[in-house]
Amino acid sequence: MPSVVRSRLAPARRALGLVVIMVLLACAVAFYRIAPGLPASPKPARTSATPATSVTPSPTASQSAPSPSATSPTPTQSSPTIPPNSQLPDGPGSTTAGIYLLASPASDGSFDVNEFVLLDKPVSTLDLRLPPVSQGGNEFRSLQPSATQVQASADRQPVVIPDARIRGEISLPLVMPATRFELRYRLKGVTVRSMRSVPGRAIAALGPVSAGVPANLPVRIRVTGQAVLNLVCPSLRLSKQACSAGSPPKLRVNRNLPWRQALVLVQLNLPRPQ
Amino acid sequence: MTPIILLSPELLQLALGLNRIVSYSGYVLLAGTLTFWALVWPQGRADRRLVLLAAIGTGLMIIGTVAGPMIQIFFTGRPIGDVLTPLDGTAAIVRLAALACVGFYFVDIVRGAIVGWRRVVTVILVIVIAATMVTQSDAVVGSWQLVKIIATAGHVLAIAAWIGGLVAMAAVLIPRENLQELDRLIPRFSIIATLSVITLVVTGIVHAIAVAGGIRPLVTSLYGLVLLVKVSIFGLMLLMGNQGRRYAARVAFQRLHTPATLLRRSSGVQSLAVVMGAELTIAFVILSTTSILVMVAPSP
Repeated sequence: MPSVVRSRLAPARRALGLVVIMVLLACAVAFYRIAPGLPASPKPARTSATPATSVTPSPTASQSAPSPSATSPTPTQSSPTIPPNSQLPDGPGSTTAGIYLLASPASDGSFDVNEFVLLDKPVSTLDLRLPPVSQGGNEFRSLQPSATQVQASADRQPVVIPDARIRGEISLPLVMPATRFELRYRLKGVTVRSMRSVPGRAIAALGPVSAGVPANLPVRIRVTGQAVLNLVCPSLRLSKQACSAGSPPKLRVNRNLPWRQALVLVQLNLPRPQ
Repeated sequence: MTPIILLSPELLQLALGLNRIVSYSGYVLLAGTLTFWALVWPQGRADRRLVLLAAIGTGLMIIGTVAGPMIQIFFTGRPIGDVLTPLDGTAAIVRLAALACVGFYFVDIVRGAIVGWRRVVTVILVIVIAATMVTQSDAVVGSWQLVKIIATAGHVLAIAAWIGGLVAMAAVLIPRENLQELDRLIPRFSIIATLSVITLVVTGIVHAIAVAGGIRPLVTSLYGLVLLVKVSIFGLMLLMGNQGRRYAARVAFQRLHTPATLLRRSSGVQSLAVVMGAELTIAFVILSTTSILVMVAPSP
């Protein structure tokens, strides 16, 4: 292009450049504001027979690290005897599709929980919810459970949980589709003290926080700690509700529960505060 | 949204990895050339090859910035809310604004020597583009955030100065137009390269330990293994870089003091081209290794 023409077009080029830059910067601000409301994956049906919205991976590296607030320890807890990943016993959540839930009570009635999930197909979102403790009976209906200090990983890559807390149902996009998940959290608001019994006696309702999985996905549950006395499965038929196996301090549910019925009542003597 | 083609996870990883290489290459070419002009050779803005490098870098960066989310949206069917976090999307759009600034005002920037306000604008552009890359990295999440952000920023800027500078040097050295400048450029670039390498080593170590969560997790993870490969290649590149700079100095001297007829028969230029070509190939391998590192970064 001749230099005369180029110099004539220069003001127009600069003006256009300014407009484009301003528009882009305005878009950046607008995007930051509206991004939380942008369409995201619909939450998968809880009773779906297939895992989540399956093989569609998603996004960004920035979602692949744990929340900094998810690491603070909690006092007066009896540490659960949780084996490292490689030492998990064979079965659902470890070597076959399913969930393996390990829990251990603390003196305040909360539970330190480790949840291992293994799916047979990769999913692109990590769906979480609070366990439906109200299904445990009338005494649990007024409880407001919450999961705090939540740490999560998908195929060993960290997944950031907003505020490291689960208050309701959340669906978190993953960097890459994953089949193996691990969750570590403190479950609160799930214990009711038995006021007519001996001091410290309580009953708690436990269930996995993992959601968006097949309704019949097998879940095995183990509750450890000297304080644990008995396990009951209220979602099963009456004849099968006494579902405890093993002996304290290592109790487990004597069968794999389907995910939709994976709720366990734990009878325990709350550990003494240290 | 229905995906155009539903890619398998492996193909998707490959596509995203390639896109990352495109972005990193674009960054090195653009930010490297701008840094080279601002810090090493302000008069080099008149060199057509350097202008071409900057233009190619801008194009690659635009492609990489736009294609990343597009790949995920169109080949997975994920809605945009899943693909871009608020911070990622904002960083991408700010980067596009910076690239638009380069595109629309490039003629004005290179009209004169990159000194004064031109140098300020150039450096600001490099910093903004680097900042958007840091924002999209894993430095802004997890523990040790501040350390990781500082280390990543230092790393990204040093890469631009060093590898980008190498590419620019190659573009200047191989042709014969700027013989008078070489004597001045090589010592200047050597200072920048030395500072960049020191920065890369320090920030690389700090960043690797911060990302891995300690020395032990670093040496026992896949991340550590890939990093070891990258460091080995980096060491090889340092050796070749040293060799290349020796050649460069020798060739510059030869070109100044040898008649053109004799110079044509000299094998120095070809040798230098081979060394620099090898060095740049290694740099490309390092960029590729880095894109793999992003994928295998472990839990802190």
